[in-house]
Amino acid sequence: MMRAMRQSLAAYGFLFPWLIGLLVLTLGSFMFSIYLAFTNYDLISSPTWAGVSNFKSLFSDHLFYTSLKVTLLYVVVSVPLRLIFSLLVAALLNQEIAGIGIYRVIFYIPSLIGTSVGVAIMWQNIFSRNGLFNLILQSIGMAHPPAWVSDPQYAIYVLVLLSIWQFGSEMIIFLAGLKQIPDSLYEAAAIDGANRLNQFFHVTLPMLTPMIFFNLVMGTINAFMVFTQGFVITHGGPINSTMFYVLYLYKQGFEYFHMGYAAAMSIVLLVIVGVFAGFLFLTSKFWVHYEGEEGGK
Amino acid sequence: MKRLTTLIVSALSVALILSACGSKGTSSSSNGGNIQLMWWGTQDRTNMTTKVIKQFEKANKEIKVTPQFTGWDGYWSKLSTQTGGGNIPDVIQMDKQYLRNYVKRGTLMDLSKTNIDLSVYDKSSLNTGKVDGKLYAIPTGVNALALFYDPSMLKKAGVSIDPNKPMSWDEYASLAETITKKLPNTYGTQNFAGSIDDLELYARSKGEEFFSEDAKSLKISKSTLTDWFNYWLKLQDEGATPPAEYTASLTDGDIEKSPIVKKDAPFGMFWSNQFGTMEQLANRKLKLALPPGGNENKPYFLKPSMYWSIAKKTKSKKASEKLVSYLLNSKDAVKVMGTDRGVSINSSVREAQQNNANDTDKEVISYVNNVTKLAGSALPVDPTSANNIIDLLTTTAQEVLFKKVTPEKATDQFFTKATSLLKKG
Repeated sequence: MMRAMRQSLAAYGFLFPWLIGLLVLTLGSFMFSIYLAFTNYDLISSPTWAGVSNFKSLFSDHLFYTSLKVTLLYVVVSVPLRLIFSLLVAALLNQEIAGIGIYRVIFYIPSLIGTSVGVAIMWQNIFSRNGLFNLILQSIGMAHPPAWVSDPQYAIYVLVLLSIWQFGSEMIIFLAGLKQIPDSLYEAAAIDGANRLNQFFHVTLPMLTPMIFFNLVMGTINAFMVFTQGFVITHGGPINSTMFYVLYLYKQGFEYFHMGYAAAMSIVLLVIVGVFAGFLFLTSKFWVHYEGEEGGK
Repeated sequence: MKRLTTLIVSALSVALILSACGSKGTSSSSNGGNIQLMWWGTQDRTNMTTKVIKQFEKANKEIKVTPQFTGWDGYWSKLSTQTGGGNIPDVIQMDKQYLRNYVKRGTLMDLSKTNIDLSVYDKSSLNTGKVDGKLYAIPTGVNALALFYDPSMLKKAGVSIDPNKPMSWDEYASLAETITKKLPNTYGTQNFAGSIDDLELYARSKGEEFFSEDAKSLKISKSTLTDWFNYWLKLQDEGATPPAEYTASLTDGDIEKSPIVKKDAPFGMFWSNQFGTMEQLANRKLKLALPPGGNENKPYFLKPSMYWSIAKKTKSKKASEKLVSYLLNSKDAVKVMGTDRGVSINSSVREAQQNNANDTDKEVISYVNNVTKLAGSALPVDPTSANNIIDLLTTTAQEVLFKKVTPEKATDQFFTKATSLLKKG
C-alpha cells in the first residue's frame, strides 16, 4: 500500500514540470484566449467586453472566407500527396541494401530543417521569377515559364510542394510500420498466387492502416495550422491566394491590433479542426485495421 | 541542525547582498536612470545608433541606455506585445502609420510638456507629429518622394529629362512608352499601381488627398482612383511596365529586386533617403528628379522619415528627454548618423549634415531642400486602420493588374471595404 502510494507520488513528481507547463503555459493561455474572443482587445489597453460581436463580424468578413478557402485547398491537396509520397519513399527505403541507414538519414534531413525560415527563403528563391527552377525550365526550351510564387494561380502549389518535401516524420512512422509486417503474410499471399502489386494492396496497405490513420489525422491538424511558408515566402499574396487562416489570424492580432477578433478566429479554427478530426475518427472503423482484431473490417 | 542553520543564514545573507545590488540601480538621482531605446532598421542603422548611444552614455554618466532593435517586419508586433505586457520602451522610434494607434491608446507622452526645446524645429514638419492638436512625436527628419532614374539608360534610348522641371503624368506615360519601343527588353517604368505614396501624389496633383483630415474617411474621389488603375493597366498592356507577376514579386521591403536595380527599367519612385542604398544595390550612378504631376496644386509633400516618441509610463522622464534631444540635435550624433533618419528639421543640424555629407548625401539634401520649397500642405496623420488599408490597396491593385476585375469594379470594392475599415477605426 505504502509502496504503491510512493510510486504514484514519484510519478507525479516526474510529471510535475510538464503539468505546470500544461496548466500555466497551455491551458491558461487557452482559457484566456476564450475570454478574449468575447472582448475588444487591442493588445495595448485592457480588453472590454464585446459579447459575440467578434463572431458576428467574422461572417461578414470576406477575407475570413478567403483564408478559409485557401487553407482548405491547402489541406485537401497537401495532406494526401504528402501521405502518398512519404509511403513511397518509406517503401523504397525498406530494403536490405548496403548503406541504407545513410539514405534514411539523408531523406529525413529536409524535415529537420523544413519549417525553418531559412528553408522558406531558399524556396522563395528557387521558385521566384528568375529563380533556379525557371532557369532550368528556360534551358530546356520553355521561353516564358510562370513566375510561380508571384503568380496567384500557382503560388499555393509552391507551398504545397514545400510541405511534401518535408515528408520525413511520416516516412519514419511508415518505415516502422513496414518493418512490423510479418514475412509470413507475404509468403502466404505468394503461395495463393498474388503478385507484387496484389501483395501491396492486400497485405501491405491494410497492415499499414493504423499508421496511415495516425499520419492522416496529425497531417490534417498540422496543415490547418500552416503559417511560416505563407508568412515568409508569399506574405499571403499575390491577391491573397496564400492567405492562410492562421496567417490572417496573426495579421488581425498583431498587425491590425484586433486581438479579440483574432482570438475568436482561433476558436472557430479549433471547432473546424475538431470537426475534421472527429470525422476522420468516425470513418476509421470502416477502414483502419488493427492487428489482433477479429476479422479485420 | 547546526549545519542547516548555517545554510539558512548564508542563503539569507546572499539574498540580502543581491537585493542591495538590485536596489542600487533604481535609487539613482532623478536625472539618471536606466532607459530602453527601441528602433527598427537595417544593420547599418543599428551599428550607427549603437555608436551614438555609447557617445551619449559617455556624456551622461548617470544614464544607461538599453538598446532594442529589429527589422521593420517584426518591429510592430514586438512593440505592441511589449506595450501590452506593461513593458513599453522609454524612447520609441515611431512611424506615421502607427502613431495614431499608440496615441489613441494613451501610451505616449505629450512632448510639449517636457523640457525638450521645440523652437528649433521647422513648424510645419513638427506638426506632422501632432494628433488632435497635441504633440506626441518629433520627426527625426524628413524624406520626399523622388523619381530615381538611370541617366545612361535614358541616353541609350535617346531621350532626356529635366530633373528640376516635373513632367505631367501623361508625359511620363508617353516617355515610358517611347523607352520601351527604343530599348529591347526594357520597360519604361516600374508599375506603381499598388503604392499608396505615389497614389497620394497623383491625387494631390488633382487637388485631392487620400485620407480626410480627421482620418475617418477617404477623401480621394472614385474617378481619380479608377483613373489611377487605368493609367497603370494601360502602360502594362503596352509593355511599358513589367507584367503583373513581376510587379507582384516586389513586396514592400524588397527594393533590391526593383526594375531599376536590375536594369529592367530606367525609372522608379522611392523615398529620398533610399537613394544611397539604391545606388549601392544598382552598383551604378543614379539621379534624382522631381516626380511627375508637379503643378499649381502643389502635390509634393515632405514625409517625416520616422519620429522619436517617449512612453507616458516612463520612469526616467528626464533621462528620456535628454536622449531624444541628443539624438535629434547633437552634432556628434549627426556625424555618425548622416541622413540615415532623414534630413533634419532643425536647420542648424541640417547644415551640419550638409557639411559632413558625401556626394550622395549632398544630392539627397539638396533634393529635399528643393522639395521643401515646392511642397504643399503636409499629410494628415494616418488613421488607425492605415496598415490594413495599405494591404487592401496592394491586393486591389494586384487584382486589376492580373485582370481579375476591371478598374471600375476594383474602385467600388476598395471604397466599400476601406470605408468600413475606417468606420471601425
